[in-house]
Amino acid sequence: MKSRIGTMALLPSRERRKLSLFLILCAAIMAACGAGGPPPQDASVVRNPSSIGGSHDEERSHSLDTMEANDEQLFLSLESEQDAVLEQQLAKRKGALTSEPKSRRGLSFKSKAPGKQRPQARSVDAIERVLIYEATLGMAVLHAQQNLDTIEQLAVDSGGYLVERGTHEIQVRVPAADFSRILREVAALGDVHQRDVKVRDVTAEFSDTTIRLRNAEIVRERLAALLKDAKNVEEALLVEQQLARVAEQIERMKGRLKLMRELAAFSTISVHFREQLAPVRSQVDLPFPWLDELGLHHLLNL
Amino acid sequence: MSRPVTKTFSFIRTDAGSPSAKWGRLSFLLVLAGMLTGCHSFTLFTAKDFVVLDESEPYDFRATTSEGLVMAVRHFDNRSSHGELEFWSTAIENKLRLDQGYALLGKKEVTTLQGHKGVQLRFGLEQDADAQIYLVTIFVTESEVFVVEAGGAESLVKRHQKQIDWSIQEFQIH
Repeated sequence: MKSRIGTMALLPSRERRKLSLFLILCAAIMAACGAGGPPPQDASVVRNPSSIGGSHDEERSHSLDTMEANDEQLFLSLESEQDAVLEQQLAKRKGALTSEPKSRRGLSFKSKAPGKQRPQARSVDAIERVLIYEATLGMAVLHAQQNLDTIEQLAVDSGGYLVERGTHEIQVRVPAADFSRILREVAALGDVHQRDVKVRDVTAEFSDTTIRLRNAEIVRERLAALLKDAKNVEEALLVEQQLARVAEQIERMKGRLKLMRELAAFSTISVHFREQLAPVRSQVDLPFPWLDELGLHHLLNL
Repeated sequence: MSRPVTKTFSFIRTDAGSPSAKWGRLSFLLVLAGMLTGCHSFTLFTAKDFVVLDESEPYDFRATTSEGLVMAVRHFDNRSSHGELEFWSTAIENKLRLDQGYALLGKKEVTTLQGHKGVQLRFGLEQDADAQIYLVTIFVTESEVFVVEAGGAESLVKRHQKQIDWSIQEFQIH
């Protein structure tokens, strides 16, 4: 890092700007692609930040450019919820600079002493579990249409809605809080011969996507700031390209989060009414032929 | 087994537990199985609305109303099988529910005035938007299994439910 600072100090300002822009764009590409793997355990991230940002004004401007790139690395490190020391180092660095660019103030995590609990926003335990419930019932009923009406009404009355409906099947979505109760009420309408209930825990995915979204928004803010400072068309185009890519990633992640929230808020119940006189399963043939002579078709055959 | 002999008597029942007087005259149907075979005989009381059918095979007894509500009785040998009430009721339930697609709408224990304990299965069947109810009541002794059936259109069964319940309650095994 020290050699890098020394090298940058020798370059003309225009070249310095180009080099820092290049480094920032590389970091933005990595963030946009979700490169949130294990933190690079290289010295550039873990190195004592006090070595960066010296007392001289010239060194300070050089360190700002370098720190921009390093900040991106740190974001990626923090994204994978690693060492709290990294947070502390970054917080120290923030305090060492008297005039930070506005964009850098977008850093939202708090400085914590080592060993203490991680920021709540980044702790999976502190996040409420995100569960998606789905149930499928196979039933035999009398008055299929009437029962389909009843199921639809049960859903609507609870604040849910109809998804689809056929002659012998129906799918509704009901508030997750009413899922068990409505499932019981639907099952009571007839003879249940098949019942499947699935629960998908998407908490980890939700948490991960939330963190990635936050980071991507920070990167977008920084790119927007860079765009304002672009000196020529070439620079502006480069930044806008990355800005568009990051924006697309953000929209995709927002959509994914919205979908998961929607799926968790409303549970799905699918009901199939069995067509009459259709066997449910092949039954063991007991050696009592008279069992086969049971049924309304025999009884009512006058 | 010899062909059962049917004797028909008409009288007015006045004892407690009988159908209300408004039903008026009741037809008392007595079916006797061949005593030499050692089979149990049974007695099924039906309301005046029912008429006995001569050709009842494979049933031992069958009667119908003019609207098509039918009641019937069959009995089967249990001496070699030694099946309990739970076995036979479950076998019948599975046969109708899983093999034939009937909807099991209810299941309850019944006890006749004689004290015979049985199980009644209530099934539903809907064909061409026409709903039908099928009641199967099972009684088991050491030597025989008695199956009392009643069925017809849902509206008919509902209208005659009390009569059907009374017939089951009055069912006698000799």
